[in-house]
Amino acid sequence: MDPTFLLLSVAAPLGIAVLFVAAAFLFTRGTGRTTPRAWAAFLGLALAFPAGVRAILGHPVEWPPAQAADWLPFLAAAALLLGAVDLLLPRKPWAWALLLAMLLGLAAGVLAGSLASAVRHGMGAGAVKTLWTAGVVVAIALPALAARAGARGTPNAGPVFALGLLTACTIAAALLFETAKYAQFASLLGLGLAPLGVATLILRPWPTDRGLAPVFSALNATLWLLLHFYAEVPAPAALVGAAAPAALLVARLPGLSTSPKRAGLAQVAAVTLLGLTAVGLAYAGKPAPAVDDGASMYPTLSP
Amino acid sequence: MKCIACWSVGSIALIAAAVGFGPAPSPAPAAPAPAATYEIDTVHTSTVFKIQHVGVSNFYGVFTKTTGTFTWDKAAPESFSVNAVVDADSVSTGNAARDGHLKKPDFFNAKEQPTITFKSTAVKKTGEGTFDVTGDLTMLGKTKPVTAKFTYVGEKDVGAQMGGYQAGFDATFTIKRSDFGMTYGVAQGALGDEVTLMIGLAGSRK
Repeated sequence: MDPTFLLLSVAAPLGIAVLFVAAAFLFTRGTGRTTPRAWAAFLGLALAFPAGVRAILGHPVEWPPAQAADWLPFLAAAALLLGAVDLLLPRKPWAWALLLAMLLGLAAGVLAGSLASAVRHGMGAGAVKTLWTAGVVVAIALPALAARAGARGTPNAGPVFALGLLTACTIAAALLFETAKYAQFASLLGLGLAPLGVATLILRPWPTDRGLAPVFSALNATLWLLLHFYAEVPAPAALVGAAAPAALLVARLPGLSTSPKRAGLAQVAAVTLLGLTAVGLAYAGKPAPAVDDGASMYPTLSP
Repeated sequence: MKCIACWSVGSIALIAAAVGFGPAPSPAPAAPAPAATYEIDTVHTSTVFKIQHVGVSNFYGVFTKTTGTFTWDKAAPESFSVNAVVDADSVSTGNAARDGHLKKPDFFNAKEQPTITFKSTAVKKTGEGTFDVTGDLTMLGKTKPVTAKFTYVGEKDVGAQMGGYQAGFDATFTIKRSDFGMTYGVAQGALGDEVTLMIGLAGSRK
């Protein structure tokens, strides 16, 4: 493995996330202030992601982007804006409407950008295409709003670990469908969350109830949709994977909402269960390998 | 008297020429026949690629579906032009698992970018039956100029059942796949960056 590639695609994104967490910790140590920590929670993820994408793609960000993956840095920028607005919005009933509008705009951007080829070739025609377009919008917007509501329900460290385990499921699905590139993109979400996981355990209190969930959810949903349209991951698997962050809502159930610890464990279990379901659906829907015309990919030894 | 005779003969000749009894004017040179258009014969066209594997050997694969057209006039090779479309999903290496991987976003991303196209822009004769064809190669959403070395192989009427009048060429060129955003395996040294394309092009005259 090329050391430079490892450095740029793993160490750099991880380093960016660590930097934000460390800076926020040092800046707020002993002050009791949590807002900078909340900013660090999603900024690290939202900036680690495009840095890693650039390294994995192996070329600078170009305009206009040539392939679906080349749009990911721009998606990350839009998600960062989403997180910032979520963090700055007052806790008012109308706040979700503004976020919904932003998410709809982000979904439209994904349709026009990363999924443009799928819109042209892969979504069928007529009513089927309309249904798919609506499905993409719903898959991006609704889980993000639900995840946000779930993360705010009973603030705890659960969302970070839940979303981190979901990332592992996304990586598994990508590898199952022979797409190492998208597995690497998914791993960037894990690298962005890892320092936060440590911070929530050791450097408490560390808020994760604002900004983080909608940012992660939007990026996660887009990756699953790309896996479906371009890597042939079955639609049920992709939709369950995209919707999985919404399971953070379990924290609002009666009996859980009063106990942050129980709520966190329930969130981890619920999101992971959906993630594993997505992987299971992907595995079940993987087509049987065609009969080889020639020799096996790997030489077989004679007995 | 002589002068009067000369003038008379000259006058008569002038008049004769004016009414068309003089020697016939030499005909204007014929306009060159336009190059004929050929439909690429998908069944008899071979599109082969070569790539280095882990730095120790060369590996070969094919695209089984190449379509398009070319124009050709043996008397005027510079009139050659080609517009070829390769179906990215037709990549074949004799191994189903590898073919599946090649069609995915790691390589040819066939679902998102279904075609690889080459459209010629200039032709330069380099020798008897050989010429360089420069054109735009579009792959994975990027377009780069490439120059392919073409060699004329032959042409004849092979019968209606075999495709009628056919012409054929060999072509070869080399690209860096990273120029088109295909970087899988390059940094790790697993697969070479340079890919050589070798095409056996056959077409039936329309």
